[in-house]
Amino acid sequence: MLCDKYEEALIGAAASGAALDSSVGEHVSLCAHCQEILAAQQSMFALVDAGLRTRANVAVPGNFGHRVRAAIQMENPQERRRNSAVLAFGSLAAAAALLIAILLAQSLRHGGKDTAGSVVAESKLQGSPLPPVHIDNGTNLGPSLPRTLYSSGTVWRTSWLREASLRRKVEPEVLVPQGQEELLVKYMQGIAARKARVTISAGLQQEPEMKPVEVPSIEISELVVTPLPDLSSN
Amino acid sequence: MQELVLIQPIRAAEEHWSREAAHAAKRRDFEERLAECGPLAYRVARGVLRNDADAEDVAQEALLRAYRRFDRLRDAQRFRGWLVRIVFRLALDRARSAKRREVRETEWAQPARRPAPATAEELAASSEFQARFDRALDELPEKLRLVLLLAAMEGHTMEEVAAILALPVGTVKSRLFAGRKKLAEKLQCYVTNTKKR
Repeated sequence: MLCDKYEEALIGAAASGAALDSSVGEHVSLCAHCQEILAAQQSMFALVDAGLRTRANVAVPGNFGHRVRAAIQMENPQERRRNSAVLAFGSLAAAAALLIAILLAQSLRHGGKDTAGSVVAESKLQGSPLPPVHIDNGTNLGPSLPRTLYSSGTVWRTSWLREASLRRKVEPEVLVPQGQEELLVKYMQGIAARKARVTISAGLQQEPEMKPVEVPSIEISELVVTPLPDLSSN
Repeated sequence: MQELVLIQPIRAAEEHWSREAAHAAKRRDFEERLAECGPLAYRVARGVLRNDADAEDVAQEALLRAYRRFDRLRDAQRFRGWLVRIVFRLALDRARSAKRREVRETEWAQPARRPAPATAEELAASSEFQARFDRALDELPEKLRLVLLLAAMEGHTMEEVAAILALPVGTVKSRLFAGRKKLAEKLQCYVTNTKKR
């Protein structure tokens, strides 16, 4: 019973591997029971550590790395398909938005009334989610694109429309049969790759110094016209 | 009638190209990490699941998830810890679902029928002890279990475990101490057995 108060200290010492306190150590050196408890606890923790090591340090299967690499390789096309689906959806949404914008602009142009500097048009569709639209007659961004749209005090700058229109101006759009966009993209990549090679090889060659071509002066002698001998007389 | 779509081919090609290049770079970078951290992922999964096939599946799934979200990892230094957490969580989920199906092993419940091993090492290696030990470890709180497993892996210092788990070294030490102590309490009957021997 007297030894019970030392039990916690003995377990702690066995768990941490630290030395016993002087008072506890003194007692243990004299008490066979506590010595036995300490030894048992030490062997217990050795057992626990051995069990943990056995469980934690298993050999990794030799083909594990290959298996994961193969799974990643399989993952890439799936991911690409996912990306292209997102891209397709995005293009579709962008096309729809563009179409709505064009239709809206056209309906405003026809249905609105002109003022000195601006055109104010009410949305023709009653109860439609589209608000009344105000069009400034400022910079011309294209044949039918509005510059500013606002409704009940809220102004939306349509910079995205401007950017889209600028992008469209820079590069022409091409009509492609659905599902063959990727083929065209690959074709363009091929062309671009060839162009890049040509540029690199041209860049590698040292450009020769440009000098004016020296042409020696040409002397033109007088033209002497000699009549051919008359062969018919023979 | 075939539908037509409008595209800007040069821009599309450039985008496609940059995507491909990004993919290649990501894959290269990830493969380097895979070589470094793949075994760790497997061992953590194996430590929780105690089954080679399940551990392989879970580690592979965790690595794939890590690959998919690799772009979102802001600090590359934290990859190990991030991966360990993914593996551990997946392994715990798998273990829980397996537990529901599993027919309980009763081997550990009849220690008296088996011949008594002579030394602590033999005892630790015996299937009877292992089964009991596994059960005791599975019953530990998750945070203690992960620290115990990582600390028991060869080559891991306390500092490394702390870095992996993004914890202070003191917390790792206290969890390790608490975990080992709890395990020892659960396996107390073996002390009594070895003592008697």
